[in-house]
Amino acid sequence: MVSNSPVPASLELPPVPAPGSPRRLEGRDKLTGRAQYAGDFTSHLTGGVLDAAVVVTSTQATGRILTIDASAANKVPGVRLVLTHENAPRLHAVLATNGAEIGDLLPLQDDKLHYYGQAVAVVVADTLAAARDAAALVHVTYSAPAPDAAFTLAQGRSRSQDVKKVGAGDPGQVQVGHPDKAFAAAPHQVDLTFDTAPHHHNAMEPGAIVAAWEADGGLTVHLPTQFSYGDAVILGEAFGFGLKERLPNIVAQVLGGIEFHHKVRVVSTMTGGAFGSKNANVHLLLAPMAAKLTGRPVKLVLDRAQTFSMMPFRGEMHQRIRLGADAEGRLQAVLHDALLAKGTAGQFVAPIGEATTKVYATPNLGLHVQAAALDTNAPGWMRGPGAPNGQFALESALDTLAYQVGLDPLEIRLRNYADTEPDTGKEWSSKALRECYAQGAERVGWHQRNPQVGSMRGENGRLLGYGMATAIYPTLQLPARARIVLGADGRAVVQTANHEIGQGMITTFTQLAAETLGLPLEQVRLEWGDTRLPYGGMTVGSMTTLSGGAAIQEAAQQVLKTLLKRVVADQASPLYNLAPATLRVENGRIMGPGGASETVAAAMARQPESPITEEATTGRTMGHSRYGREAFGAEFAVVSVDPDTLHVQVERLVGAFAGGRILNPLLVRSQLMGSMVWGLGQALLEQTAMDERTGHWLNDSLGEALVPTNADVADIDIILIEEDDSRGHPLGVKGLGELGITGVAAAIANAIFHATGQRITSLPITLDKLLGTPLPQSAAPASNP
Amino acid sequence: MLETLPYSNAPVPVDLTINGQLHQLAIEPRTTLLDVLREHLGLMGTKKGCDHGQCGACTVLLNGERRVSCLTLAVSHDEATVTTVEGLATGDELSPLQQAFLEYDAYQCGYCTPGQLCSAQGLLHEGHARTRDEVRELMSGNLCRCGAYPHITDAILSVLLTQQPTP
Amino acid sequence: MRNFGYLRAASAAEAVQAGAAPQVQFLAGGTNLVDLLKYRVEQPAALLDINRLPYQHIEELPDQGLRLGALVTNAATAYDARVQTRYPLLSSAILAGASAQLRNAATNGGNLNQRTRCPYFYDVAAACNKRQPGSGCAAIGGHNRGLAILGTSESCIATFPSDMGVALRVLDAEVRLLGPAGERVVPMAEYHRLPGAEPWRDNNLLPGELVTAIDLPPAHFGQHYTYLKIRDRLSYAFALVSVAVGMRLDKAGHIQEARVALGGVAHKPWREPRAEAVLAGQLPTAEVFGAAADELLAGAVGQGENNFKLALARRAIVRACQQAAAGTPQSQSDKHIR
Ligand SMILES: Cc1cc2nc3c(=O)[nH]c(=O)nc-3n(C[C@H](O)[C@H](O)[C@H](O)COP(=O)(O)OP(=O)(O)OC[C@H]3O[C@@H](n4cnc5c(N)ncnc54)[C@H](O)[C@@H]3O)c2cc1C
Ligand code: SF4
Ligand code: FES
Ligand code: FES
Repeated sequence: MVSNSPVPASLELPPVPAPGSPRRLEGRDKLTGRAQYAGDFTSHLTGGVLDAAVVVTSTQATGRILTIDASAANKVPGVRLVLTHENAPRLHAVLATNGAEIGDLLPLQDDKLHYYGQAVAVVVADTLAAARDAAALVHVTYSAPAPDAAFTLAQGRSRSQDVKKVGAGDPGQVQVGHPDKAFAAAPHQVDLTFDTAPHHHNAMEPGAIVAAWEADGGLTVHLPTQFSYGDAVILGEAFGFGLKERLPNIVAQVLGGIEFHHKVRVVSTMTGGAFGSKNANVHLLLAPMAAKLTGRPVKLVLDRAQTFSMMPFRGEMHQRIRLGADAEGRLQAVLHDALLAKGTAGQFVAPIGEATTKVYATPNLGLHVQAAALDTNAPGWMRGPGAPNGQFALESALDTLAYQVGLDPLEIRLRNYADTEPDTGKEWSSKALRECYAQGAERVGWHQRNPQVGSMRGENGRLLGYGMATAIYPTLQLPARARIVLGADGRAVVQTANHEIGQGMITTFTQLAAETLGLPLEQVRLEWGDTRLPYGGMTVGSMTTLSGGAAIQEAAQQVLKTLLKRVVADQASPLYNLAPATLRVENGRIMGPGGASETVAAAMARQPESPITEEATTGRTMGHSRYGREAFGAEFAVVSVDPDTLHVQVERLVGAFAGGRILNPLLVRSQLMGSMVWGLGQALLEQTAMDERTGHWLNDSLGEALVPTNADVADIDIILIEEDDSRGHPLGVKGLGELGITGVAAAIANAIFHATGQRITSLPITLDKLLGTPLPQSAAPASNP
Repeated sequence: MLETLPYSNAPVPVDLTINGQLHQLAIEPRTTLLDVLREHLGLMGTKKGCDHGQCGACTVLLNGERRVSCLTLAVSHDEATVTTVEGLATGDELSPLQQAFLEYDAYQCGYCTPGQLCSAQGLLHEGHARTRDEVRELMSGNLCRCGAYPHITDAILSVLLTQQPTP
Repeated sequence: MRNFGYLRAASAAEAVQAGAAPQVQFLAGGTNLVDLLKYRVEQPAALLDINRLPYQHIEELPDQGLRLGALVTNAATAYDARVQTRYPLLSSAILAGASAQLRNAATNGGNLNQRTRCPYFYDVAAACNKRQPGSGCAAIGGHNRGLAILGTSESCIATFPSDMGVALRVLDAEVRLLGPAGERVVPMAEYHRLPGAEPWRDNNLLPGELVTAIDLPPAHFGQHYTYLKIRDRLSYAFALVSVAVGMRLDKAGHIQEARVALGGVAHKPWREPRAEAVLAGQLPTAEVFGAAADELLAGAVGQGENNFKLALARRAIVRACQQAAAGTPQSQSDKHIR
């Protein structure tokens, strides 16, 4: 019952996180409703006209469209167009570097059905209400569905095929040593299979796009995306622009300094959450197709249900882990087999097992990935792609092994600590994982727990359990360019087409440029998310700071160099004739030895005609390094389970992360916290239910496809451990946006095992799974830590 | 059917005072308050996350109470007062809640934030949340896929504690 | 959402008369109806807005009971001081449902008349006898994790999703109706129907009939009660199983009277006199509660995906009875089950 008593005195003012860190620079806009997302566009931003487009999706997965009757829809006042495969512009093939569906399947090109919820028409009208009305009147008939359709792995197992490359090119088949033989010979063996449910990103902002064709034949789109340049090239390819830039070699061209300027402009300033779901989407093509025929700007926003079939998701996965260990618990063999669902079109297979080849030392290692193409829309990149599922399987198996051998779960991880990269033997660029284990364990009270399974009791006889897992995520860097212009007013403008998706890019980049230039934050302004700006790379794989940040730092260093050269050559400067190497710039002031100094603004003001402009390109080696480069962490979960109803509650999550240099602890903390919340959701809640009879994502709503609420989220404790990773990356930073999710599901599953003795091998762990097996009869004395 | 009834689906006059400004509208009966704000008035601060009452992104204050505007038919609220995220600050000065969200980093992508702020404002007004657990429960009608929950709770608690004298 | 006509009812008489016409629906808070309009599950020709009718208050009844106006919101009801002290079970059940925003809009009359959350009912492309009589039931043999285990029929296995209704059932509330033919009072027990062969009929309301109030008879469950709601997510989710319990114990600790109702398992809040008879006069032990649970669940059958509800319901009943007997009702903000 909610009490009406006053606030208890015991309630303390929550400490402000990372007090010294700059707050989000776009914060005021987000807090006052001024921040503008694509769906918020109104006609005054597009020259007085902005029509509304609504998609009509199929209610059958396979077969053909027999008829589409748009006559009633066309009669609705205000309707301008009903776009179907019969009248849609023909598109040219596109190449989707991320394996997205549109690389294989362009929308509205023929009458074939590929999945339930496929776009079959787009209705454009003057108002959203009219477009919705008309969309409901589009009448579609279908031929009989295919009798042998498969929508789940259980149905489509016979379609399994070996996968050569997973993710962005990691090997799908790995063999180091003789894993089968070593497994067979190992004194301790664990052999477990795991199933993880499909689930969707469900960013709070659904897919949205505004498309406008210009009089000169150019196309401008505004949309939330993680790769504006990529989307621009796709549009250019699809609509047959004579393109110099093609996606496969865009990187080479960027590196070669070829200016990217064709008639497609993609602008992406605010994104209401992405998590891998936003780029190369189907609606990217639909809105420009419609706008081309109406000759007027169009805004298309998906409804929530449509995001389930028209945007990607994390597909269903089936895994088998075999671990062989010696008597001391040292891994002799690790075998990881995985079968992943693919879409009917699209090439994406999550980089499953990537972590398995990097996380623990073992002389014999096998990875065998297969995929089965199902009659559904295509799975795609989703926060920590592959890693949390792979880690759930591997770390659950390792936990099982620990109990079998009689080792503490933490000890078995230390015993198998990989001092060099397991699959390559390379030295690590840096790896403070031991620190993470130690500090995380200390914070959660790991060594004070009773390690015996089913032994711990909380209030009201609740079963308490502690679990842990290793978090691991690759540190990658992609090519990126940045331009910095230092103006006559001493202010700098930083330009790069990277994207703000909630990770805090605007703040981090501005901060980084300001620090490098020696300017106060207020004197630096970032321009981002627009293909008119220098290529900023993809906002994926936790690489924003690594990729774009490196380019910004380099450009800033060049600006600084030019500035110092200029002042020492400028007779009017108090710093005239000093050696540039003796000068420092701090807080907007250039300082020399012996107290000589002037402000950057003063120095620049003397040559108002010549601002300093520098560009830099970084990431040429694509992050390849002679070192192994991973970010690591140790994640701990404390759960309590009601002994009668088996209702699970996560009491606490502790994550200790080693992420190189931390530029803005506030933003990093928020990223890690968010990804740990994702881990909790994946562990206990998230699943999109497939109706095996029709291919329909049945619970295609936020009310039925559950994601965590505020009440679900436990106390989350984050420990940041700084590392010197300067030999891994020029900024010494690592990717931290996804690391946090990778070990959480495993830690929670392991904690549930510790509490109940039940090893649940499928996600999410809903209580029906726990109700299946009896509880431990352990009469161990209650302990209440 | 309709001919025999005294009903019409023609636009209905509705007066709404939104962020202090009176709007005299004529809207179809089916128009939700959310669509009035976004589609008719161009007030885009209030977000549509689901359009089915399942996410809280569209939360506004209706006569001071928090409501999901996507399930609220505007015709039913003639003469009501509405406050949206655009109406929370006083000129350039952020409200205490907005300021706390900034300090506690109680948001990431910002898409759920207008709803979180209006909901939190409503929660303070209701006066039923006195503990951390109560804040969490009574803010559970606002999903945040970025997972900023712990910071959202902290930010709200900080305002709760500084606005209400402890005995 | 299809467009529709709109009329604001100025008087109850007008409302019941106009409401009796087919294809006209009452609009209260709209939190269920507007949702269904958007999915085109409901496509009325007109809405009759009843929000200005005079059913806006909670009033004392001469027998120490309370009359809850049909248009009082769920939030106002749950936080009403009289309800909180005299009917804390009701307050708790309401606060277990939906979200603060929704409870601010949802009315007591609307809550009683909310429709099922069966996913196929919502999906206009699926077969559903409740939505489209005679089309079949896609939930049988489909995904039915959230659906009923008791009182199902061959034509429908939907549940009535309300939390408030489960508490009202335990409290022996009476629903006051006003229709074209005048007033009548229907006990909660008879308000909702089982699906039978006519699953499209959720309850026994006649055309044009309006819920005007819910009467709560005097109750003595201020101490020994609980509303235990088990769901996948800790908040803002419908029950998989919920249990409302009200009890009176004598000085020696024997159960004088116990009432138990289940939510999330049937087309109506489920109560069984035989289960309560098992409890009467007994000491509150897990065995006794288990025996009562078996009576309450007699005849329950799983539909496949929801088989687990049988075990879950039994455990939840025992636990809820223990909570009630111990006087440690479930908190709706601290989610730990006591
Ligand atoms: C996302 C979400 C989550 C929810 N979670 C829960 C939950 O966990 N537990 C729970 O119990 N509920 C839950 N609800 C349901 C909510 O409680 C109901 O929608 C609400 O109680 C309905 O009340 P209303 O006034 O808004 O009704 P309306 O939507 O206005 O009406 C609903 C129906 O009742 C009829 N009606 C309304 N008033 C009367 C009357 N006086 N006489 C006759 N007929 C009438 C209407 O014609 C309509 O058919 C949830 C709803 C949503 C949207
Ligand atoms: S269970 Fe009832 S509501 Fe659900 S599909 Fe079957 S008939 Fe329709
Ligand atoms: S948009 Fe209204 S609750 Fe989601
Ligand atoms: S801040 Fe992104 S959804 Fe809450």
